[in-house]
Amino acid sequence: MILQAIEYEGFRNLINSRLTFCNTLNVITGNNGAGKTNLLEAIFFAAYCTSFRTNDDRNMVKFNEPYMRVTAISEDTTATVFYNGTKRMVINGNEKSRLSEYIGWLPCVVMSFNDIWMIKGAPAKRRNFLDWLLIKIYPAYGSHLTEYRKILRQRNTILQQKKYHASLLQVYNDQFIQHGNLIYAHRRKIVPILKEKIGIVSKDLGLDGISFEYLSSCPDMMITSNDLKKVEPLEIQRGETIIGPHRDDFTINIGGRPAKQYASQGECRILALLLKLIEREVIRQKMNQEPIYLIDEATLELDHFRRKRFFELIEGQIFFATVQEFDELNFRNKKRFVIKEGLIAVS
Amino acid sequence: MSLIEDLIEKLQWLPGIGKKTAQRLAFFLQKMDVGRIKELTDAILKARLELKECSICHNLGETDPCEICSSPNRNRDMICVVEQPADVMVIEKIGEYKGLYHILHGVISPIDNIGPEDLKIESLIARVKEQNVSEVIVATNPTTEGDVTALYIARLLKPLNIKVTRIARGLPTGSDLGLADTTTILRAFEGRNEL
Repeated sequence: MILQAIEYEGFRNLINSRLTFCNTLNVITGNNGAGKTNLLEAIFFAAYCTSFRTNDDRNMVKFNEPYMRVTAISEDTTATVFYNGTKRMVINGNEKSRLSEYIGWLPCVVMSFNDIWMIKGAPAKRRNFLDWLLIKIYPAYGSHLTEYRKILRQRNTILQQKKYHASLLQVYNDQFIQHGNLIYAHRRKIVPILKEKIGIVSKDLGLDGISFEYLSSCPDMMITSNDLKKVEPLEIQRGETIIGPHRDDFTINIGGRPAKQYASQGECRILALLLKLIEREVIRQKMNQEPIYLIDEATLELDHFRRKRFFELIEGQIFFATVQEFDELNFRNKKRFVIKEGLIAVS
Repeated sequence: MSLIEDLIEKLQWLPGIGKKTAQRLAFFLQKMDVGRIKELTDAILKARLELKECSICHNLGETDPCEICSSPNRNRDMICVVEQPADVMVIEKIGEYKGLYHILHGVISPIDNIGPEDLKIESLIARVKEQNVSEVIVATNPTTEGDVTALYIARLLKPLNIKVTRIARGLPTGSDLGLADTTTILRAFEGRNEL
C-alpha cells in the first residue's frame, strides 16, 4: 500500500495543509514539539480512526477549533475521518457506520520510541500490542473486545457488591465465558504465527535464541465454567475477575530467560523493534499487502549495524520522524519535509 | 439568573437536550404564538398527571388496567417482555402480535446501579405463575445489557416449565449481505431457519 497524499484540518498543532508523499522514504525533521509525531498520528488516524497516543479523540482537535478532518489518498482509495464530538468515516464517498467496515484499508505499523515499554513495562502494554495486531488483521475483533470489556465491567461490579447477586452472577458468567472465548479463539490463531515469525525475523536482525511464549491465565487459552467456579470465592473476596484474556501476558525470552528481567536497554530496544517487524510479517501474510511504516525515533539507541540492517529489512513506504537525519537514511529516492511550529514544508 | 437563562437551563432537564439545542428551543419559543405554547404545556402536564402505569403490565395508558390488558380480543397465554413503553408502540404498529405485554422499564446494568430488583421482573414472574401463560417472548434490545436481562429472565422462568423465546436478530429486510457487518452476519447464521 502506498499513501499518496494527506489533507488535514484542525489537527493538533498542524497548520491546515495538503502533502504529497514519495513511495519510498519520507523524512520529517523538526525540533522538539514542532509537530513531527502529530503528522504520523494524523496518518494513523486516517487509517484507524483513532490515535496511537491518546484514548481521548478530543485531544487531537486543535485548541479552539470546532472539528478536525483528515483525508488520506491512495491509488484507489480516498478516505476521510471527521470528528466534532462524533466521528464520521467515509471511504470513496460511502459513509461507514461501523469502525470494522472502515479500518483495514491502509495497514500501518507504528514504531515508536515508547515501544520499549512492550518489553520492560506492564502486561497491559503487551496485551495492547496483541489486541491491536488482531484488530488490524480481523477488524471485527475490535467489537468483540469492546463487548468483552463491557461484560467484564458489569461482572466486576457484581463481584464488588456487598450482597452479591448469585443468580445474576451466573448469567454474567455464561456471557463472560462466551465473549472471553471469542477473544481467545482469535488469540489462539495468532500465537503459533508469532512463534514461527519470531524465529525468522530475529535471525534477520542477527539475534539468536529468541522465543515467544504466551502466558495464559486459563489452561489452553480457553475459559471453562469449571475454571471460573474454582476462582469464584477469591473473585468475590477481591471484587474483580481474575482469569480471562484481560489478565494474560506474553514474554520474549532470550536464551530461555525472560527479556523483561534480563535484557539490557539496547537489547530491549531491538526486541521492541523485533515485535513490530513481526507485526509487519503477520500483516503481510494475512492481508497480502505491504503496510506503511510510521517510525517515530524508534531507531535511537541502536548500534550502527542494527540500524543499517533495520532499514535494509523494510521494503515499504516509510514515514520517518526524527530530530536529526543520519547516514542510513541516504535512500536513492526520498522526500524531505521540515516542520516548524506545525507548518510543514518540502525541503 | 435572567428569564431566558432560566428557561435554557430547565429545557436541559430533558434527555437528549444539550446546551445548544436548549438555546435554540428557548429562542424558538419566544417567537411562538402564546396560544400554541399553552397547548403544549397543557399537553405535557395533562399527560404527566393523567397517564397511569398499568398495574398488570406496567405500560403507560389512560386506564388501569391498560387497554391491552383489559381487551377481550388479546391472546392471554402469551407475554412479550420489552424494555420501554415505546417498544410496545413499535410492535403494536405492525398489528401482528395479539398477545399481552410486560414492560420492564429498563435493563439490568450493574455499573449503572440497576439490578433485577429495580426492574419489573418480580411482577412478571408473579404474573406468569398466576395466569396460564404458555410462552414468554423476550424482546429486549440486542445489546449486551438486553441479552443479559433476557438470559436472567429465562433462568427465572425455566423452573416454571414455560417456553421462553428471544426475538431473532439478523439482517434487515431489503439489505445486502455485502453491506452487513460480521457480527450481524454471525448472528444471522446462528438464528437460521429451516426452509
